[in-house]
Amino acid sequence: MFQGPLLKPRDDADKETETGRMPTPLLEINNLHVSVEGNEILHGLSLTVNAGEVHAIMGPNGSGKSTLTKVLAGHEAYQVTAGSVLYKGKDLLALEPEIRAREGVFLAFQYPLEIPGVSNTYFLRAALNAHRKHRGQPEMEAAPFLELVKAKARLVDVDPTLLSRPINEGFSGGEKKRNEILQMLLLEPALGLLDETDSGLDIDALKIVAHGVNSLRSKERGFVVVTHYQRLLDYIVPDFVHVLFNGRIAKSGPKELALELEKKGYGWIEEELAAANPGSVKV
Amino acid sequence: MNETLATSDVLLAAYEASRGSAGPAWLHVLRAEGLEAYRSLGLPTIRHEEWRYTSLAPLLKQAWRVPDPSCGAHLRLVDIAPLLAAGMDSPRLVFINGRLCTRLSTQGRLAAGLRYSSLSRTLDDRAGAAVVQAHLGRHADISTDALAALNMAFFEDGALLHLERGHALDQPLQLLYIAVGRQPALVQPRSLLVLEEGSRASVVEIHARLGDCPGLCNHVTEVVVNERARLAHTLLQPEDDAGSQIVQLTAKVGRGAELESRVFSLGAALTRNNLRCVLEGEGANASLSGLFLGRGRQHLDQHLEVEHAGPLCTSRQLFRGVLDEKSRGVFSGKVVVRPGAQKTNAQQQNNNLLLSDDAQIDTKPQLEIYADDVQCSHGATSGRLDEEALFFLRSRGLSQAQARSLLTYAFCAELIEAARHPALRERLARVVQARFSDPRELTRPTGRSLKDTEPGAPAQTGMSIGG
Repeated sequence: MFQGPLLKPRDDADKETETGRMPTPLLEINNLHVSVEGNEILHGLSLTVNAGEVHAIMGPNGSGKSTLTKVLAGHEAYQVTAGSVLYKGKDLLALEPEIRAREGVFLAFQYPLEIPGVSNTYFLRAALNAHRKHRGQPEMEAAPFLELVKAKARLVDVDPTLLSRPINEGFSGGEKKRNEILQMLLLEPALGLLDETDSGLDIDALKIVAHGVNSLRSKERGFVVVTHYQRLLDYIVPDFVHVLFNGRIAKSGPKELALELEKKGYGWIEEELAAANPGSVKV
Repeated sequence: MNETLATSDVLLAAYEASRGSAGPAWLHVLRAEGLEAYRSLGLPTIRHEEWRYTSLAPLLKQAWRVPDPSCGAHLRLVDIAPLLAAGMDSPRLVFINGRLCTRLSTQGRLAAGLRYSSLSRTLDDRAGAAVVQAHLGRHADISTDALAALNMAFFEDGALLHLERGHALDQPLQLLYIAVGRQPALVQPRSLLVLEEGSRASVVEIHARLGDCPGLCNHVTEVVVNERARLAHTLLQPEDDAGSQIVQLTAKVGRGAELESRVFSLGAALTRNNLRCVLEGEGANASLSGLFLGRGRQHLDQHLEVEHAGPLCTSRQLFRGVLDEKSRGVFSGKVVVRPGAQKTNAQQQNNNLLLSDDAQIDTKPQLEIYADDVQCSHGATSGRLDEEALFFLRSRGLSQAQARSLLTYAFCAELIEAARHPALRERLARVVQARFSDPRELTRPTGRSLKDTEPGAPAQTGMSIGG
């Protein structure tokens, strides 16, 4: 079985540049410590994601999975007390959430919010135009935007009537999650962070969501997929699976690790940790 | 005019030279009663329970004048067009400093059964005079409201709308009251809207002021919605940083009749709206809503009372306030259910959004129920913008300013969308989105797009009516 926390791109040769040097990773998290209201949740997490890779993060409740995605997206309640995060070689933590978004970081929320009073289309166009402006592109007018968003909506089976409704108001659980993916399709991020996007989805909706994500997979993009269930990974097939345990990555492996976790739960990982470091949970 | 007046009463002082002799005898009696009531009540202070959170004291530091009748002579249609909430196509009566400006009002013959004009012109006509005499001053309560009494004593003029039985206005009637002048002026117009049985109308009152000079407008509106009649009434108070507005709106709603009242108070040095609605007849229905926006040191006070006097009536109140910077809001809503008003259904809600640490809201919902078979509910909330929602929007690339503005708009959306007129909805949406985009970069246009001075306009002189 694939062992060890070190992650290397699988096809190193492909990724070498002309000078023979490794390309800058898309995301490089190094010894990240994060606290929420004074409680440390992440205790020195390190993870590298290269362009073209999909990393799945699994782990028991409370291990810090959502914290990881929120801190990467820039939620102010999550305070970084130590460590660093480089995104395309730049200090991600120094950027405001909206700048991270415009630079290509996208978080699909575990619990998408309802925002009554703001139409979905209005919001989506404002978001896309914020990105376009950031890239020095002209803003998109309402009519061509509507065509674009309808086309993207078809990809994730979002009913066009939902576009004119207020954001997520009265949407079913599945519709909310598909709306998140629609936003991602529209904004075409370089780094997609999916926080339990599969929770609450039936199998058909799961396939639709996975299809939406897969349609974005490319050599330039990377994904961090947080999930509790191996099921999602049948459809979004990861390159790596990491087990987050007590605020750190306790184990990493290929996609088969997810199957093992599904079968055996997380207890054995805790035992391995204890055996490797008697008297301590230090990895 | 009257040596017994307290010289310290600056509001009365404004009228020292103004007591005219125009109008019928019954009107003189009403005016005298108004003056008498005002003098015995005196201006309310914060020791008065209904005025606990709103002090009129700052108004008394000003030496108020009655505006010169020539003020506003320079105004043209293009100047007032932006103020019209329902557009240029629907009929309008324009009052400048309380007096009808025929030049800016729409003209034309009215269909039989409809009458709208100024109160003073209506008095020239026997049938019109009968309507005015039957209703003017009969609904607004001057026995407890000193400012309504003051208006009764000294109102300049105002609008009358009368619909005979079964008639309908097919377009909204706009009553545009403009205060203008270059000296601190006190203006007291009045509206009287009477809908006879089964008639229907939509009325928009706009209380605007042009110029940056302090002003006080003390307005009274009396509304009678008789059996099965329906009135949609909108009160728009555009932002007026230097001005103060006090409005008393009293509506009586008859059997099976309906009143829809929408208030949009966009901020003033002081706004006090006393809205009183009496559901008199069985099955009467009132829906009252309001949106109030404050910034700077603006003070906005919405003071409602809904009285269920007849059985089987329903009332809905929904008021929302958005308060930024050091502004202060007050919502006081009372529902009174009289004995015998069984099967009453009354709901009241007040939600407030505080955009800064220094903004403040006092909210006081009250129920007084003297019947046993009723359904009444009330609720009030005050809060800040949802941090999670802000983060969500920013995580999609919207700037903090955009996100704040969008969420503030969202808070107001239900009320903005309830506005009847598309032009008004668009205007309100623009105002909300522009104003609350970012409290840290609040840069306001200096002055307004509308000026009360123009090349060639007569320079304002110190003034007193008749002086």
